[in-house]
Amino acid sequence: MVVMRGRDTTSSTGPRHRTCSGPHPCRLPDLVNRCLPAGRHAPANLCDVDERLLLVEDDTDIRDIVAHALEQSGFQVTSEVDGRQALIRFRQNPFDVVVLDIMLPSLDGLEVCRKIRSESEVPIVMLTAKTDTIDVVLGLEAGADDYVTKPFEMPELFARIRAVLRRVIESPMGPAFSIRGLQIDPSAFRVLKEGRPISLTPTEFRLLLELARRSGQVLTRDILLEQVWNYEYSGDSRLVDMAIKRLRQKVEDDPSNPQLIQTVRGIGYTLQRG
Amino acid sequence: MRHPIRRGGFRWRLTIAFILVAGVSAGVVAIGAFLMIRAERENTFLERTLRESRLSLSLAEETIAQPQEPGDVRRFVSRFKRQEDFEAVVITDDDSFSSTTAIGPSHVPSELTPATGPAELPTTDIDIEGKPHLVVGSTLANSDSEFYFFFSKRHLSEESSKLQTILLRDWIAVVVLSGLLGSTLARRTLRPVSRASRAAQALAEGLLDTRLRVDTDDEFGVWATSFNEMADALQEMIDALSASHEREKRFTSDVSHELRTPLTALMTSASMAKQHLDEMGPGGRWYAEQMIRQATRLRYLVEELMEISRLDAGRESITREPVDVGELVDSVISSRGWKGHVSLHADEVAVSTDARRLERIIANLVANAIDHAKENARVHAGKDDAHVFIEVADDGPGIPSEHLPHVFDRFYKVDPARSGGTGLGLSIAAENAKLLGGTIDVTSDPGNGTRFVLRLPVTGPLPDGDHGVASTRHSSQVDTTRSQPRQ
Repeated sequence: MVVMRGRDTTSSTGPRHRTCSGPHPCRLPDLVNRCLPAGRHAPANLCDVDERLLLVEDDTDIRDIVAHALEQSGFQVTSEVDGRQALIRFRQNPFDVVVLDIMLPSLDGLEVCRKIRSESEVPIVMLTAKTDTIDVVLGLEAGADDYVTKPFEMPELFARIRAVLRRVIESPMGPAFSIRGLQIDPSAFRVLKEGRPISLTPTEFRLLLELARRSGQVLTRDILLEQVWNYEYSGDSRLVDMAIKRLRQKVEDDPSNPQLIQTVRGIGYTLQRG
Repeated sequence: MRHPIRRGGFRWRLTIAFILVAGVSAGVVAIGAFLMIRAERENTFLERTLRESRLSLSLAEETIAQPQEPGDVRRFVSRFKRQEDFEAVVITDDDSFSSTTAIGPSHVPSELTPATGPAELPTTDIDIEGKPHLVVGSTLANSDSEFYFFFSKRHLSEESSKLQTILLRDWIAVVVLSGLLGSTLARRTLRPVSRASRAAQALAEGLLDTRLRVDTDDEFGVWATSFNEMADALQEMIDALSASHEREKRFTSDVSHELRTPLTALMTSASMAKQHLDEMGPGGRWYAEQMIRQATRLRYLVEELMEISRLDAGRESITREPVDVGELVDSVISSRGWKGHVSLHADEVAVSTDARRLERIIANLVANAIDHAKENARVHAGKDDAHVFIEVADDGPGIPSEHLPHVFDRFYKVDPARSGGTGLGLSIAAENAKLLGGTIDVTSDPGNGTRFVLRLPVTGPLPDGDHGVASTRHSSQVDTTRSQPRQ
């Protein structure tokens, strides 16, 4: 079982063993269930180890309610009020997922996001106060995997957390393959570019994998949103655009003049076979 | 808008008046002067002819002996050959003598009866071959011969026509000058008026600090002062209005932002409460359901308020990309679970626009149509010469004409008893349409429904090959029960 998590190298616990039974222990089923309200399923029947979640939110009421709801759903929640504190906490303990508010005292959410991303591939879901402004774009540029705008309903946040975690935990199937100088090993979550490993977040990895497996085809933003982000309808296409931008930074020789991942104007993206 | 000065305008009339006054008065003076001078000249001419005639007669008395010798008469007559414009014709009983061949006895006018002495000489004007002459006739006391003297009026008429030419030329000069002067004066006089007209135009175009220069204390100066006072008042009023409008916008923005935090707390709790409804007793459950519904309603209201305040702030940017309009309408309808409520007819239309905003407009128009439709809402997407249009119609009760101009106003509800919606949807749609350079028109036939038409400018040729977009329509399992709160 492969579990990517933040700061794997410093993690004192390492990959934890789960006591679930079944052919694919602790994969999708328990995550889906954990995102349902507690009480409807007895946690003992599922997993005894919770996903560790760092919640950074400055408003006490929202923090308490969201933390409570997440805990009830089986997450092991650590709450932080302040950006700087959150960063310290993140460096002390390993987390499986980070839920990050943008407006924070002392160190704003974007900066926290950027710092976490420079150290780890942990999935980050942003809570943003604004829908249509530059905030979303900045957050995605800083490395967030997804976002939820305030006010939100809990199932919406669960769905986003579930989707980013699924990208980490559910390892893609299939044998390793090579395309245009990239060696992609799906089950190991590993990409080598000309022999050197490239560090990708799970979102970026899934995105690259999706494009590489269907190379030569043009994939629309909607298809990518569905396949990578698990949106069924009307997700924000900026999620795709910004992730492509980050991915290009890592895999292209010259990110400003991408050769590998091409934009098809008005339609989507394609990875040419070469 | 500039209003051109037309003929018959004030300046025109003033110029014409100037020309008339100057032309008539100069004309009267010129004609008077001409007549006076000509009379004076003619008088002088007459006196001279009489003097010359008397002199010639007395000469004749001396030189022509009695009884007459034809030689004497011929000599007398031949003396006149040296005289210019002065000829003599002498008619004796049996002969006639003439100083020139051009003039003979036949030219003597019959009505002229020669005087018997030089005291009272009769004169007559005649034309000889078109040339005016004055004829003086007389006899001598001791003979029957008749003496006629012909004076050419050539000089006189030449002078007169020269004078006429000079006066006419001067008159024309006076008229032209007065025209120019009149026009210039009119322009100068009317300059404050045209300045004021330009200033008023500038004011109308929104340059509220436009003022007139007050440089005279005449009527125009007073007028300019009043104009400026009016502009001051106008500016103050508009400043106050826009300040209050600004405050209102800021207030909307602040309030919606401030509401957002407690609303988020409320929404998260409500959404969790929703999951636990089954565990509640029947009494508590009803209230919880009400609370959840109202929290959701409040959420939409606050979100729409936020959107309005963002649009008001005017800092919204648009990202253009080629959009397949039919595709977009279809996805708006299916993603919101409206398939059963809307009949869609979409031509193949592509336009370069902001897909998110267009989606917002379509969603709001269609939501409104479904809300009011008796049975079905109809959507038709197509294209005419200059526009891509999306027509959203319902078969509902329609909108009375007095409400029609207000349907895009914020919180305007045609029927206040209806509780659905926030009252901001159409206004948001209109603002977004404006942002995309488009328009929304509404027509309604009370009793038969309402029709909204969104028109977007076609912004140039789009690359064809939207085939890739079509493939998104596979849309796996359509799960319309899933909440779509992001929109």
